[in-house]
Amino acid sequence: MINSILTNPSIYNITQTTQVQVAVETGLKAVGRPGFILLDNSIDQNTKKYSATKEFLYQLTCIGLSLGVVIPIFKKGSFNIARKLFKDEPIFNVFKNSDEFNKFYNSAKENRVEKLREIYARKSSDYSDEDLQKHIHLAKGMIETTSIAGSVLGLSIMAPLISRPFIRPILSKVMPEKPQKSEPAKLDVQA
Amino acid sequence: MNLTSTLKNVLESVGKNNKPTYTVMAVAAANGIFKPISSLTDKKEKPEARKYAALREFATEVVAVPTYWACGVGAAAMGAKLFKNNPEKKAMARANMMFLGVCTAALLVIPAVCSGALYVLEKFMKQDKKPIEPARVNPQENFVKNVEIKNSADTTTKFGSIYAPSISTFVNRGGLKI
Repeated sequence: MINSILTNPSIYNITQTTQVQVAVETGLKAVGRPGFILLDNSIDQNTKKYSATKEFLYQLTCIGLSLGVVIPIFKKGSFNIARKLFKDEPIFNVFKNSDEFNKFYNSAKENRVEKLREIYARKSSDYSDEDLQKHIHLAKGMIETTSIAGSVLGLSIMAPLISRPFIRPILSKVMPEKPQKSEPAKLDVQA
Repeated sequence: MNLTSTLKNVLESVGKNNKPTYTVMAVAAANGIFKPISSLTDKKEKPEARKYAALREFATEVVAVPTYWACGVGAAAMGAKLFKNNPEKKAMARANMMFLGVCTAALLVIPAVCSGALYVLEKFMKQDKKPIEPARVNPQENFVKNVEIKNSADTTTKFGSIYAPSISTFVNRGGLKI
């Protein structure tokens, strides 16, 4: 059972995409981090709940933002960037965008090289199998790298800025009492 | 080798095997830089809370980067060991185990290490920062002291006011006979 999971090609293909990696990792963070905050006995109950809810909502914002907005934008733009960077590479001209390439990549798992040769043949080009394999890796790498860049931008720069005005009203509705931080006792001047 | 060909090689390598450690480590490293900056610029929080949040976020990501790497690479090595006799399955097991390793790091290892590290750090800081006790003031005691000081000052500085009477009003009450 475990062996079949570990060597499952479908799991391999799924886990090779940045989108899945980001979604799973952030989802696990959304469970693990609040969970460990709630397990901490050195904090009072109210602070624990507040921090755990805040962390959970922040991670949810991260998932939504990166999967819903940033990665799709970067993914779509990846082939346009590639066309400017690698003008001589035919793979970026054969496929209009990353979605078209991904369709080809997922549909022709076993015979990608042959299928690409057929597509290239229509454009009257001649490449070795090794070249074609390299072209496929290059296009796939371009999509995944732009997705990684999008994830970094979304999770590290945009999410903290966007989550602030988004989380505070929700937190104040869910938990009306914000935990009070202990302040040093003030000296009574009149005494 | 120019920049374009280097970039091409990097992209081909990512396309060949998009290791989960690449993504999570890149995100964690960027989080370690930008999240503390974001916390420090949050003007709605108190300065102390801002600093604490920034330090906490920075420390979390400092822990996260090597932990992701160690868990991912360690799990991949385990996967390769499990299928060392089957080269076809070995590559697949390596990649899938690396993903599992990264997931374990995100779910359990990093939060656990961070909680432990924060616990130690807080204990350490409590030892360093002994609470400053406010000076205890007893108003009654102070009042008495002040009065005493005032009286003694009167006797020494204001000569002739109480204890050294004027000669014109002096009356010998029979205390001293010549």
